[in-house]
Amino acid sequence: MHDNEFAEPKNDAGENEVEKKSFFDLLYGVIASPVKTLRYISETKPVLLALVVYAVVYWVGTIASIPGTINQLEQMPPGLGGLPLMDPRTLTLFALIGGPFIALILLTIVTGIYHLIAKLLKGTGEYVGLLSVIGFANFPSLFSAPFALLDLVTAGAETMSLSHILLALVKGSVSFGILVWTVILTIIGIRENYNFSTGRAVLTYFIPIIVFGLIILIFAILIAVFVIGAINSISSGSF
Amino acid sequence: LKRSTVVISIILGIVFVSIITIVIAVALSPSTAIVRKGNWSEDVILYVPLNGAIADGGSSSLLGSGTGITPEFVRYRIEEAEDDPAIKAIIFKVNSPGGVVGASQEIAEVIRDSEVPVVVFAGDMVASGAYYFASQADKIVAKPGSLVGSIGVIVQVPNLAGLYEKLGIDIQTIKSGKNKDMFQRDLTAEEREKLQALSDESYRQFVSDVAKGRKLKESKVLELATGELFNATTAKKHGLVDEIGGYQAAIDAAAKLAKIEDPIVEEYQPTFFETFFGTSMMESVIRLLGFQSLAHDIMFLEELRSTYGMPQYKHTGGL
Repeated sequence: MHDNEFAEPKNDAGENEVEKKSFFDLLYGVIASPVKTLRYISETKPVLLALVVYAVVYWVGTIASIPGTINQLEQMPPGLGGLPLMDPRTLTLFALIGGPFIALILLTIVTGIYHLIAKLLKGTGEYVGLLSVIGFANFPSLFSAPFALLDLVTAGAETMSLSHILLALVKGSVSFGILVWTVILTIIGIRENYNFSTGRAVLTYFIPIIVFGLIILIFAILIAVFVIGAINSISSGSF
Repeated sequence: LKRSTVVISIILGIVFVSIITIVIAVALSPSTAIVRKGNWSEDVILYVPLNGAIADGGSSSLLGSGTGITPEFVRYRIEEAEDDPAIKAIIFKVNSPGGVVGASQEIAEVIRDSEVPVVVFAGDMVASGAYYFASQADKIVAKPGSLVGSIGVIVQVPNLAGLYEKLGIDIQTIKSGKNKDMFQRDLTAEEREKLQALSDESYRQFVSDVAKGRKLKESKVLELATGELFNATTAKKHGLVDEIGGYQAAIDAAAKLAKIEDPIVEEYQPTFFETFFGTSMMESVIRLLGFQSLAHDIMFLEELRSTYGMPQYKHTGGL
């Protein structure tokens, strides 16, 4: 993988750049100089490597989440915790084996939605380029793995102890930081891929999330209205 | 080296070590389904399968690790149950030909001292050392065709002189203590007597503990302690088994002992390590690789090594 190299794309002047970036250069660039690197990725479109990065990041994330999942399942009542589907081994095995495939399918769908919105906002980039930048933009999620060890450390601790609260705070802050980092990288990637302004890239990123949130909210309101109506009907005996 | 290579290598290294640590920690941790911290109102019966020969965990080899029945495994399950207010009883589903004396006695003691009621549910065979510890349970439930008993001791000393000769190995022995090399050659009459005494002592302990555990007279147990196996219906007539029945009968017996109704039965789930590196998986891999005969040879040699000249509570037919 390290030797896998990509030719620098032609620049505006049409000159052939001699500089080539290896896989490690790309990963390092995403951290050290994200704008330049994500622009490079959007132009060279190393889509297969991006999918590998995304799948590996998902895999590592799944493994890293095992201690936390186990901690949560331990708190469940026996009747629920004993269900085969709630068994951490079943969940983990499913996530480890089938997870990367499902994650990649979801990635292609979500990227498709972003691409559609970007096109509606007059973006000029390509779908494959977006797929590549999103794949690489998720690379910092790997940093969650060392902090997942904290879940192992806190597994036996009292929930209200000071050390437990401090560790939970550190873990929460780091997780939030990594989330914000990947969101920013994805927005930069969208911006570079579609030659957008930052504002339009932000809009492209958040429009699907806002729409999805609104759909959920509408569903919740409809269900609530239906339930309240049903309860009122029962209480007034007006069937 | 380029800076990017160094930085990314360090990052990937840290991630790799973290992931491996998590996997190992989770793999070696006991079943989380049964380790709960809350005071749940439900009544739970823990169902734990015990399969294979009885061995002391510390003496297991790579091929033997994660396999068989060890005192540690049984003790951990009982301690977990004692620490968990929801678990009201344990059912050990036992399928074993027995094994080494010390480990069998240790398991028997752990079961005898358990604060939660213990029911042994016999699988195909509860023989010798397995019956030793089963006899200390509050109740033994067996299927009609289960084979139970084999109360006795066996000491086997393979004479490897012929093998050494075949291999051209000439062993020169320097010893302090006249019997120190007794397992390296033919036994003398005196040594045979010593081993017989050793075996007899283990036998007396076996008979005595079974009599106490089953509340039978020692003379009655002595009559049954011929090393023979009984099917469960006959064993029940002799007082070696309490009840004939299947899975539900075992649960009913455990619920009755725990004085609970409508219990939730939680089956012990093995850890990742046990799942992936247990005997069945290891044998499957070996078979897949076509090394079955080699595996049998290695396991036979391992068996010889680990039980060399040791008295055993073990049924020696087939397993």
